[in-house]
Amino acid sequence: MKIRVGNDILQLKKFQATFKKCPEKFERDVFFQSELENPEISHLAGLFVAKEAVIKALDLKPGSWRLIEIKNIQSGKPVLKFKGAVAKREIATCDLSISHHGDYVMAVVVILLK
Amino acid sequence: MKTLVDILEEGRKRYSSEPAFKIKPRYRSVVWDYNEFYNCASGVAKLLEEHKLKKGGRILLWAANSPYWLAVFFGCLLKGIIVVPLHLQNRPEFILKIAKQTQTKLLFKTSAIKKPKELGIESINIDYLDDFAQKEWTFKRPLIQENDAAEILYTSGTTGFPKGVVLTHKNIVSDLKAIFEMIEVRKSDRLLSILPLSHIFEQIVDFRALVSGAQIVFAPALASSIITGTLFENKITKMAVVPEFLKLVMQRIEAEARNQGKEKKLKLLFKLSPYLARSLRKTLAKNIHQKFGGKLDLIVSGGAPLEVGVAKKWQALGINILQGYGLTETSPVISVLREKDKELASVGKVIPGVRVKIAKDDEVLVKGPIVFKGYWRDPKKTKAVFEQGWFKTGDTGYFDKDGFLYIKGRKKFIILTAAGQNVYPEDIEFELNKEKEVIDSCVVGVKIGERILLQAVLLSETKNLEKVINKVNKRLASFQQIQKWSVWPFADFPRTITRKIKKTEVLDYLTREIVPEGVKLAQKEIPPLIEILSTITNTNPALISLKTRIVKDLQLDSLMRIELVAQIEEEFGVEIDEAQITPKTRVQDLESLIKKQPKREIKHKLSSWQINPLTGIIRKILTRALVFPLFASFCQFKIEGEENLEQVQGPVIFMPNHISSLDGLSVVRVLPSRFQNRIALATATDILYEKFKPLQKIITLLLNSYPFPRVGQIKSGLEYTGKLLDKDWSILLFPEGRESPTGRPLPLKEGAGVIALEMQVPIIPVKIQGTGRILPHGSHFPKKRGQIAVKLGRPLYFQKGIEPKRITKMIEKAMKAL
Repeated sequence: MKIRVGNDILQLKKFQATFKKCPEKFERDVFFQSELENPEISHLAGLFVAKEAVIKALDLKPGSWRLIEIKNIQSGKPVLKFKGAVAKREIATCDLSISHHGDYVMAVVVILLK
Repeated sequence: MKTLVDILEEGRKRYSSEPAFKIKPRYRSVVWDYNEFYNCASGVAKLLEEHKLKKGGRILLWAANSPYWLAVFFGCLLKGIIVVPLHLQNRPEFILKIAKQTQTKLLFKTSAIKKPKELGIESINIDYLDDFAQKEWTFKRPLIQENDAAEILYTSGTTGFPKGVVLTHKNIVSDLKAIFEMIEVRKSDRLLSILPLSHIFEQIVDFRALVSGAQIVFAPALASSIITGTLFENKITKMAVVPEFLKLVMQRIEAEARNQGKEKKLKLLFKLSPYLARSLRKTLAKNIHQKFGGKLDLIVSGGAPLEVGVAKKWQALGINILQGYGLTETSPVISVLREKDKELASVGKVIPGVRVKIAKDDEVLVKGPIVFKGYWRDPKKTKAVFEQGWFKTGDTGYFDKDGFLYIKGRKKFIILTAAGQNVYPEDIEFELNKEKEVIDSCVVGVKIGERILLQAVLLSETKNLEKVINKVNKRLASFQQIQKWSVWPFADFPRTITRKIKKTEVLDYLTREIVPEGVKLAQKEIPPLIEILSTITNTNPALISLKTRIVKDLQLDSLMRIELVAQIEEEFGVEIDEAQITPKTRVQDLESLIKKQPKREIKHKLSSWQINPLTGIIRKILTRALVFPLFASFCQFKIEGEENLEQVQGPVIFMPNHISSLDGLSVVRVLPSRFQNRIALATATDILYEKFKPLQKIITLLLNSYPFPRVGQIKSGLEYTGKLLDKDWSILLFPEGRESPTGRPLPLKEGAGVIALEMQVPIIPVKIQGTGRILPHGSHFPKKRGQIAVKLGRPLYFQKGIEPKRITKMIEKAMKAL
């Protein structure tokens, strides 16, 4: 069994500025429709930073945003759902944590490979 | 016609509801008829009255060509106010000087232009003047006489004190009358107005069109693709250009023929053309004509001399080229070379009512009603250009035995050689410009000690031009030999508004190293990709080269990467995969990647069949006989707020909430027939055109749906919407962008405000209730019977200049309030 860790940190202001410049790009190529149900910028920034953390943990190609979907379970805790090629990898279990503080958003993921 | 005001008044009487102007700034066309033109001008007159401007007062007009420009111009004339038009490129310092000289009280400008800080007068944005066109405004009319000044045109460039040429109504009207017969214009003509109206040449051509009730079309911008697009879309018949335009477009036509292997055919046409009738030449060059809309038949060239070879080539295509010669001081036309005239090297014959004689020193002198009275409050300079009542043009020339006038060159640029011979630099430039290595040239006499050397300054992409100079020297007379040459170090020569080279400034640079204003900026354009990279990564563009590594050297993070890919898509129309940008990727790799990528075509289009009248009839029969009765079998309809549509004229955009697939049909079902029969449904491309593709044709037939992308290239959606509204089709568009899964309202897409602002039609907020229970989100068959209620709100009007975001909020509020 192998452990993979990934983290990332993001400035909310910067994310907002980029999102504003090309919202269509984010809506089409970064997020899923389900993720956009809550269009709040801090929420989307959290998802973005979490996806980036996963990309780092699994060493995915840049731009693999739509291979990772993030859902919130009842308690509000985010959970990961993998798609396409990533879904086929031998992942035993994984966990994700997103944190907001002031202008910063960060995420940590831990993934156990079989 | 005595004064220019008569153009406006007679236009209203004779052509009242015929189209006068058309402009398409973005997605919607603005068309004014002659009545609206008059109304708007009268509104401007009223506005001037409110600002307490009196006859003889001056205003500045600083804007690109548009219906608004002409409305302000004529509005001022109605009140006897003298217009001082400014060129778009004029610098603030220059404008301040002019404002001081003419003591202007008011600045009319386009909203895109920023008023210079130091200019302490009030400014009015002319692109919001549409409202004036609605009615005729009353104002106190002063008596306008033919000797009243109409405008002051500033000619001199950047150096020294500017000179203001005062032209009276009589000056311009006399010129207009003299050329009336030479430029034939019909009511059915469409003239493209692209040269600046701040120059008298475009003015006289536009006035000529207005006198005959033609329509003037304005191009939204001056990029060559936009000009050709405007020519094509509007099937332009006539236009005025400067020679450089004809030269460049001809070069492009020839290059294209070369690429398509049709060069021989084109050359043959050029050769045979003198023996062919014009209509036949036109037929033979049909492919070329088609690109210009197929109707172009007259081009008026002026402002600078046109090369004989270029003129011949255009005529070979069956296009009538009319050349004029004149100066701002002569309102402007002095002579015209007509199509039938074979003396292509001349500037034609002097127009009726004007006298021209050649002075002893060969200078061309002019007398007649077209000659201006003087420079604005500058008797000294005025006196210097008159000699016993004759205006000295500053050009030298001669007449041939048939009365054709030939211009040899500007008097002040004649170079007197050591041997005492007069050299016309224009003759040498003419020979130089024949060489393909030379883009353009400027010959001056440079004083070195006691001697004057003939120096050729060349605009060229080749560095070593020794051979070219030797070749040209062989063709020149011994006293014309080029003794020194250099390559112009900037991207282009400093030029006047009609693209003539400013020789004095070139000489100043050569002798005193004074860098001409304006050319500095043009030195090297930053390639678009580097521009994009520089703004995204906040790096000085000078530090980015083709070898720069994008990720490492520019520290491209994942957010910047997304922005980069999005911007590349917008600028180049190609999609790049983010993964293709690796740590090793250099700028040059990305560049070739972009080139290799196929251009993304717009997949889904508005088809012309869906808006043709026959389809309309079929649609009407099908919906009334089949769809609506079927609909009635499981629901009843209730409409509220129908009265809100009564006052509305022309097309509108309905914006309902979205809770079920039945919504579109429900709204159409309850609308009054005037809207029901002429409505189109904006449909998300990813749903109708991808998810439910097999049904697409049927739904398009029944509901007249057209593609509106929710994401990505939203521009095509705006273009189609504008096109439909231009043709009087109303639009049904769901501003939430998708069906609400819960039935509760979703936040509106920001595009809603953009659409309302761009389209400039009333927005009708709509509330739909009941459809969600009958056919809930996600289901394909009705679940139960029930009532559908459609409530129409009051029409919302949004003025130009409001933030789209605020408009979106206002629409959202109005929808919620229903």
